[in-house]
Amino acid sequence: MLPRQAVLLIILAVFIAFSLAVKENFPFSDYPMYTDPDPVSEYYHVTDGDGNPLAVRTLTGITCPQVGKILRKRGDEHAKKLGTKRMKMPASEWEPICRETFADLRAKSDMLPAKMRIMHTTIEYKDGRILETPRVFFAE
Amino acid sequence: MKTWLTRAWDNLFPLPSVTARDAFILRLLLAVALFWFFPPFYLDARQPEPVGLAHWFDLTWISAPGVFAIYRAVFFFFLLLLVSGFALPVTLPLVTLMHILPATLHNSQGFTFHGNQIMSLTLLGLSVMSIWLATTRRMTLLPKSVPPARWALMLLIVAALSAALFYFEKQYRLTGLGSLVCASLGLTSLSADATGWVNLFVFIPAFIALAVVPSLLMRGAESADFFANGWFLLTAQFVIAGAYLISVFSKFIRSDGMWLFNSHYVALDFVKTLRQNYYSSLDPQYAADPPAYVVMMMNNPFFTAIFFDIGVLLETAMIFLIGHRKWTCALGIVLIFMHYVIAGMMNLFFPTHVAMLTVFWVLPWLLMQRRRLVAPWDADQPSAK
Repeated sequence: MLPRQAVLLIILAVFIAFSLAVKENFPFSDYPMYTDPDPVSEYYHVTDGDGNPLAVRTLTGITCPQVGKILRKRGDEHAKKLGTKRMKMPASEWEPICRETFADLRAKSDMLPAKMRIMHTTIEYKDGRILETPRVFFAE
Repeated sequence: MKTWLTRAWDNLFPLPSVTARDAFILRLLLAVALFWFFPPFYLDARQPEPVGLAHWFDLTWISAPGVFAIYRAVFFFFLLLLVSGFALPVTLPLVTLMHILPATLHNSQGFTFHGNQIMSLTLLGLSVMSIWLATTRRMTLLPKSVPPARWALMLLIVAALSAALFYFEKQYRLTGLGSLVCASLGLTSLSADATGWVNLFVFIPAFIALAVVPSLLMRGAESADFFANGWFLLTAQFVIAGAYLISVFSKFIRSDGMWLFNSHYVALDFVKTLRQNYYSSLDPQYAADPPAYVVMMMNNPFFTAIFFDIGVLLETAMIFLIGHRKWTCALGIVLIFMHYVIAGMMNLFFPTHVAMLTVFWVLPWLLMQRRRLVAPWDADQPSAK
């Protein structure tokens, strides 16, 4: 009979290994937030066709970070199928992902404009100040 | 060195002594936390990116019109049974399943919310433990030491309370009781935060008052007393510490072992969170320049890295302190403080983590102190580690 400490350490190892293997499958998670601190941080937000930001949470119930999580998750899965990395995917590969995401947002609200954009902004530290660089990631 | 290692090994995962009263208080506060954080309504009508059980089952029935109100009342029913200690090897797995299903559906929308895992995992751990204890100790499900008429009356009361909850939630949301109190006292100018606190301070005694009645009828039941052993507390602490440790492993794996050296870049995510908060609802309070402390942190990467690395160290230390009430209390308070610091700096708060740490990490030592204070008048309580 193994001592209690050994049994619990084995259970702990199995619990950790299983959670890391199954990743985001509720109730298990590998808690990927802030796990790879990078010199460049990034986020996405949604605007109308003219570039005016949309209060996406107020309109759809989906928050701005959740939009980012959807894009990153779908981007990672698509990139995996292509045998590449999400950040290296060409814009043409992102188009169906962005359109699907817009379709999901519109399913939650009928108050969204006919034309929307996804903006991608990078944040980095340069020359003693925080530099934010936005660009149009996808436009309808 | 050998002596030190032997002592360390012997002191790893000690089984804490827990009285029936302490176990009842822990179950009661666990149920309070579970119901407080349980959503009052549900809107996810699809599961476009299934996770967990949603891979195999369509869970969208939960959000069908009228269903979730019933689901919530049934969840409340099982929570009251959990507090009373009735048939725990059955009650606990049912509470666990009912907690997991809506959260699984919510996380099947294409994004992950990380606020529910800690509660579901703790419940899962307790369920496994209760089944294991019931099997190995050949426990009967129905309490032998409580007359059938008494536990049948208890079931009736719990069912009536759940039905009343269902009815009143159609009129006023239970979590909105605080708003009603504020309105009736003329406190209409309170901020949303202050109203939230009033909600909480009304909700907790209201829930406790409702849960205590059926529990009194189950007093002396062995099905409740069998949780008055250290395994209940040890399991909860073990699962919570394990969840924090998983995030530590993730940090090292995903950063190729560089997390401790690159952690100062987390400061950039403070700006990201600020911007995301603004673009979620265009709330002008977040339309600000990056906080000065972010620039200061990036100007001092060494000290910033140490600041973040201490957090990881604390998360790692948890696993070694399980079962030691004084130390779990101390570390629990420090971790709760850490969560509030993160909330202040990043506007990213995990109240469910704070609740679980409070109930299973901080409170056990405070309960032991209460026992010591009242010991001369409460001589039947065993000593505790």
